[in-house]
Parts: sequence; C-alpha cells; structure tokens
Amino acid sequence: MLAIVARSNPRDREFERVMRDHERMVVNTAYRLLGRMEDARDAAQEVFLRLLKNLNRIEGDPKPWLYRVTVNVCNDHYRRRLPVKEPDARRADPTPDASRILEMGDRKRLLMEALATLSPRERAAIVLRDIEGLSTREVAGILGIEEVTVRSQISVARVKLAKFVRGRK
Amino acid sequence: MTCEECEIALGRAESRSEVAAHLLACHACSELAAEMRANAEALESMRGERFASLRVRVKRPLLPAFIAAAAAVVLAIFTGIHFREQTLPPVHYALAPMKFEISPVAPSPPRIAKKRVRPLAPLMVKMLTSDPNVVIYWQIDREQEGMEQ
Repeated sequence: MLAIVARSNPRDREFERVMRDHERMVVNTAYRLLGRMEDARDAAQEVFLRLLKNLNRIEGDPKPWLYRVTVNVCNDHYRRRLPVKEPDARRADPTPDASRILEMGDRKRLLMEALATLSPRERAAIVLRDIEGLSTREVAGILGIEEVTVRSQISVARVKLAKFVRGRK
Repeated sequence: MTCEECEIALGRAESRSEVAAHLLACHACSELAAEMRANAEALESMRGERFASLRVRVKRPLLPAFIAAAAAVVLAIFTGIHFREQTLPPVHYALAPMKFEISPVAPSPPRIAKKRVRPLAPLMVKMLTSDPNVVIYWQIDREQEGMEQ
C-alpha cells in the first residue's frame, strides 16, 4: 500500500503504479536473498529509489529490471553486512529423531539458513528459479549469464540445500 | 551411474531410467532425492507468502499550494477586519428564574480500569534523495509484523 502526495505529476503516478504492482515481489525476493526483514526493507528502499531515478529509462515490463536491481542491491548489501555468526556446530550433528520428518515450517526455516550458505550467484539463481518461479531463460536474462550456467548453479544449489537440511535433522 | 552423477541429475530434476535405477539401489541418494522433493515443495510454498508491506510517500514541495495557502491567509485577515468594522444591533434578553432539584445519588459501582491496548504506530522513515525536490517517506505497517517469518 502506498500513496503519493503530489498526484499531479504523471511520473509520480507511474512510480506509484509500478511500486504498487511490484513492491511485494521486491520485498519477498530481498528477504529470501538476505534472510532478514530489516535488511530486506533497506534493500527494497534502495531498489525503489533507483526506480525513481531511472523510471524514464525503463521500457516495457519493469519486472526484469526490478529483479536485476534487487539482486544487485542485495549482493552489495550482503558484502557490506557484518559477518553473521557461524551456525552452532552442535546443531550440525544429526539428532537421532525417529521420524526424521520435518514440519513445513521447520523446513522453511532451515532452508532460509541454508540459503545463506550458498554463493551469491547460486542463491540468486535458486531464489529466482525455485521461489519466484521464473524460467531458466528469465533467470539467465536477469543475472546476465548463460542458461546453461543457471542450470548448473541451480543443480548445485539444490543438492547443497538438501544436504544442509539433511544434516540438520 | 555414480552417486555424484545421480546428485547432478537430481539437481537438474532429471527423471531418467538410470537415475531411477540408482535410487532403488542407493539408500543415500534415495534419501537425498526425497529431501530435494520436500525442499522443492517448501520453496514453492514460499512464493505465496506475504510480508509486512511498505508504504512509500514521495513528497514534493508544492509552490502553487504554498501560494494558495498564503492567499487564503491574506483573505482570512481581510475578512476578519471587515467583520470587526461592522456594528451589530444590541441584543436584549431576560433570564427566567431557574429551579434546582437535588436528587440522592446512588453510589456508583467501582470502576475497573480497562487496560488500553494501543495499536502500534506505523514506523515512518524519511529519506533524502540527491534530488532536493524529492523526499521519500517510508511508512512501515507494523500491524502486519506478526506475519513475518
């Protein structure tokens, strides 16, 4: 939900429309990439500031542009961020759980932890492909890499995530 | 097929007969495959999740609005002066005698102080941009914070 005070400016109206349509997408993607809502909000703020500055240059659907900028902003943010405390080693030991079946909520939490262990490119690829549901071609376009590279990164990332979750159960 | 090859195939979501045969024979890869299926389901379910929304307001200093406000102030001053200069006719009025009646007051029940639950005020963040005419206000809806993961 957003509102622009000066409604007389068509540029502002366009900005409002683009923001309204894509705000959720940007915040969600940033959250998956950064793992913290505070950081995601900061990143989204930066993304929309860049949108405001570049609105006239964006032609057609702004979605790929927004995804690309979100990934770039999040990568910058990730690099600047203070190092996150290493996961507790004790938790890495597999617990002798009889069922070994994770609830969906626990699995999601573990996956968020696991995403942080991936390289920035792997993380971006898996978030865009498996969470945002984009096609391999779209992901390749957004990240500026070949489709075959995206496939490889996603494949590696999926295996890493599965091994991480299995190790934490 | 080796386990490494199977992992790559699983990562690419390939469903070749070789992979299926390996999964039947290899318990570790079979577990990994089950894990990957569950992960894929969990990741997909994240797509529909909603988080606290951001509210953004772009405020621009509006010169015409300022002029209109100034004009309104000037108009109000002149109108006030005009009304003050008008002489009003005297008004005569008489008060009727009033009767007071005091009735016994029943003791009121003890008042229980209600705990007021104050709603969380939205968090407002002001951001200056390189454009002096553009100031971005971020209003974060804290009511929806509970929805966050």
